Amino acid sequence: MAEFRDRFAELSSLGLGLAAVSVDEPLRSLALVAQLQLPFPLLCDAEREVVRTYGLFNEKEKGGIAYPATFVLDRNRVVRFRSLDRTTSRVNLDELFSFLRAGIDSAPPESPTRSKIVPRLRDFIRVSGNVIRHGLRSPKR
Amino acid sequence: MGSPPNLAEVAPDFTVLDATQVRRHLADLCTERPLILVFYRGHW
Repeated sequence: MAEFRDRFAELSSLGLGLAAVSVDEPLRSLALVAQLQLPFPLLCDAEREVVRTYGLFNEKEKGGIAYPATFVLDRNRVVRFRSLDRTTSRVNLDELFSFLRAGIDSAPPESPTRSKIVPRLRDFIRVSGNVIRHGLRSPKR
Repeated sequence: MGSPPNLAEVAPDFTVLDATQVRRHLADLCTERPLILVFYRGHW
């Protein structure tokens, strides 16, 4: 989320909006908005209906969470770009932005590459603090 | 369970609450400009 926050101004200047979905309920999402100072909405799929509909429900982890993924939708909700990601890798933002700068009518990358995520010590400390404050995960309703 | 929408397919519409308890409709979020829709694992 922080990576998208850091490039949000660039996204806006390209004429795009951004919204992010997880299974977190609003209170937990609000904590993330405050902690990371996110300038875009976090959508709360606490019932896990959206992640199921989108085929992105990872029921094996933490009571059921979303598999990470990134879509670019045009104004008619037609998918112009998609990257289905893994736990340890995410959409390559440079590649995504190259596509966006070329215009969403341009051909998307055949198979988007992904960037490896290497957790840092400060991430580990932040995660540990969040677990202590908020618990590991809200139970599935 | 469904499957992730492919390129050139219409993404399924949905309505959920946002972090401030406001109901958000995907179609409305796309109306004025194209949208990056990110699915993430949640707050650790």
